[in-house]
Amino acid sequence: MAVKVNSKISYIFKKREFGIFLFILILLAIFGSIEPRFFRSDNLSAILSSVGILMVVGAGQTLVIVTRNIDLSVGSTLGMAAMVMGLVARSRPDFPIMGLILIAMVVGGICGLINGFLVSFGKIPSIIATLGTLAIFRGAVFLVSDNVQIDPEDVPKDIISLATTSPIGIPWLLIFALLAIVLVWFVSSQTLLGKRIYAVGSNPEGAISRGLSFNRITIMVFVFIGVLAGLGGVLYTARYATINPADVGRGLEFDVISAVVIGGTNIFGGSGTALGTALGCMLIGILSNGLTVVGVSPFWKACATGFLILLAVAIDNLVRRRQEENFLLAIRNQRVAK
Amino acid sequence: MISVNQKWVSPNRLKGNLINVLECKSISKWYGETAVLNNVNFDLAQNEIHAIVGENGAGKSTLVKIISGLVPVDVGSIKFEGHDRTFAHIREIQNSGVALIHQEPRLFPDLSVLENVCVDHQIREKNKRFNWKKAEEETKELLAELGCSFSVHSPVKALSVADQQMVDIVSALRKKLKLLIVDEPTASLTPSEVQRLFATIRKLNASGVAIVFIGHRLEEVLEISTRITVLKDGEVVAVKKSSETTEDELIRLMVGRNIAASTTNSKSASSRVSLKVSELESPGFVSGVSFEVKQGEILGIGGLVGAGRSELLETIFGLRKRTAGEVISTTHGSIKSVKQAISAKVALVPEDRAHNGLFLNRSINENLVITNLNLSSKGGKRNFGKEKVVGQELIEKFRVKLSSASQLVRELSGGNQQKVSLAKWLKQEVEILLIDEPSRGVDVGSKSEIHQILNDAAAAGMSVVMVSSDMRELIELSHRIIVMRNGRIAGELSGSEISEEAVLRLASGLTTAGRGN
Repeated sequence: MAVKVNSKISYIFKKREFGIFLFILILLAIFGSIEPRFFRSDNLSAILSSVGILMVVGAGQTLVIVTRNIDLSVGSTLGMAAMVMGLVARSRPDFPIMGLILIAMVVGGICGLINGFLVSFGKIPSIIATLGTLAIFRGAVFLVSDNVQIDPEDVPKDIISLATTSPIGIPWLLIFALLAIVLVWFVSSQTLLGKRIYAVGSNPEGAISRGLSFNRITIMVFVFIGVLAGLGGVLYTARYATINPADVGRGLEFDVISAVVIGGTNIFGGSGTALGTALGCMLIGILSNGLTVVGVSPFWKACATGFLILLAVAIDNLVRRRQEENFLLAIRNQRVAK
Repeated sequence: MISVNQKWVSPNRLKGNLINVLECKSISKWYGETAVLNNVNFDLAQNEIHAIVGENGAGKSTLVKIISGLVPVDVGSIKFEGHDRTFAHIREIQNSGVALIHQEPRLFPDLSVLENVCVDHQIREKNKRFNWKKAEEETKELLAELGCSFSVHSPVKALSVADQQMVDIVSALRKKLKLLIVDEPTASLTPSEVQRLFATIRKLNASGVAIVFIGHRLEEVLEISTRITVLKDGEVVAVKKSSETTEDELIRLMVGRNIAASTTNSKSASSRVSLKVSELESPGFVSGVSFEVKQGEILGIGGLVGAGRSELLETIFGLRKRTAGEVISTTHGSIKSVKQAISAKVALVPEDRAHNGLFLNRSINENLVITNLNLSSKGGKRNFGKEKVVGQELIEKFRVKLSSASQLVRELSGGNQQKVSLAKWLKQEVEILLIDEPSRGVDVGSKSEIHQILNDAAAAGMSVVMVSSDMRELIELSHRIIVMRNGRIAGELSGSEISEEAVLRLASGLTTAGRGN
């Protein structure tokens, strides 16, 4: 009986990811037929670049949400990392590119560490803690930059080329994005640490009574998303070549959380996949680009994205409820059979 | 079969040196002003299955939570295998081989069986990756040995409670298990599932794992255990060898000797029926429950924790989904939803006041008038002056002790909170009061006041359906008692049939005393 139920579940999960995939295809068909320019290679690469940045940060957000937390500060963290990196690059033009990337990731990691401490030891609900740091980190971006933006001529050519050059046919930016997704897939499905992260989100009390270190896991996922947001800062700089203190990463949290939720990660913790998040990011990226390209006003665009999130969560709830009813029924039948 | 198990047992356990695995000395624990455990001594020898029995609230669960490190002890000392473990961290206790299995398994519903079993595995060798293949084989082996047929890859939330317990046990077995504590594991199992669990426990015990077993069904306790400790009101009243005691003796010990001291409610109720419940069904909790309540009657509902008593009240009130059956108020007709229940003048005072019955962060006055706003408002606008008057009236009537009516409810004692909770319902002309554990966590003084309030209300013609785990309360207040067991009515007691012993017998499924169903 249990095996049967199991196959049913994986069927539903597969169906969900397949569903997003189908939806992406439909969107592509609609946008392409309204506006043929949608499929031009420069537009497609624009889509991929924005999807790539979303994926890098979304990969981290998936694990954060799996632990029943949320990180609203990702946009500001990304901005902080990009700005510090940009300042170093401007003052020392010959600084090695690997060093710059490392600096961005370390700055992001420190931001994540602060969030992690506030949430774990500070016992501040993550939605409040990261709402606070969202403002603090943004303020810090203005402070360190004196509200002066980093101009394209001050950004090293090597950084910009991450968005355009390619070792194996796809740009570095996308390689980083895929690596982040693969890393989350690997950690979540292949390692004990990953199982502990899911366990904490699935049943926090159970996790404590099994002796799992709650605080350590919380801090770990926040540092992880911080480091990825730092990497996102590098990719942002590569794509836009300008780091404006007011614009860099602003509003990113909305797109990232939308993508993760649309991708099927349970906002109440315990479940969610890297593949789902990757698809969710693609969906958000394509929708946002497509609506602009076909000439929908930015105001309607915002409405459409919001509507999509609500739809995804509503479908999710329906599926979950159906699942639970099926479990109860299966268990009951099992008992009757005995 | 046993030999397979032995690799989970530390070598020195097999030498057969018969020291006590566990020694608890003078354990005391208070929650607020209430002593949950008072000077309890408990020891456990090797190869022993030591059962703990006692009524609801006797302190059984608290004791094992203290042993397993989930709850810190206030006074006393705990020694495990000769080492002091009194203030050890839960992880330290677990790593030394102690596992606690609750009635509700502590598992991770989203993870698979294998993942649940391995999630707290400690990797000892550095730079060595966790070997999933090996873990899977070992888990499969353990599951097969315990007679489980489910796949290690099925998610735990798709398993029955019995299978989930097996997963819990296997999780414990993967570590070097020395002491297994099972807390009321059989409450929601079918007889064949119980037998499988017992076979597992015996097998483990034979291979050197000491067992602490908490059980409500005395028949089962006698079957599985070698020694029995009886707790009453947080104190040890007896330690018996299972072979030298009987169910009757255990019940007498659990109840205490002063049975005669309690008197039953002799005041008569009217003959007019006010509430009819017929064949009520709520899947998993309540099945085929029928009864009637008369005007002015206090109907007690007894039974063990998990027997479906609270769920029954919730189903009657319309909070819980019902799949069959009817609830009829003789004056207001059929009740299907909370809204209908309220307009039929039915009120529910829930057990968990803090979460369901009161707004802890609002003032006493606001809590009192919230259900009576129609008395103190006009056209949707609150009349604060009138609210004060209504509130004051209630405060005086129910003798709530407070510094001011604008005091927050969270600052009140448990007893006074309960009085506020009662008062806010009783102001309205409630005809049928459903009340769950009226005096849990309440001091003695408030308790008798609450009893007085309930008696007065019944005398004034209210019908009261009261769920209580407090035997005294149940017997003294009730005109009639229905005892529930596994979601069904196990029997009904009235008049001279009512005694703690009779209730306990029905609740634990011993015999069908009185009018069974």
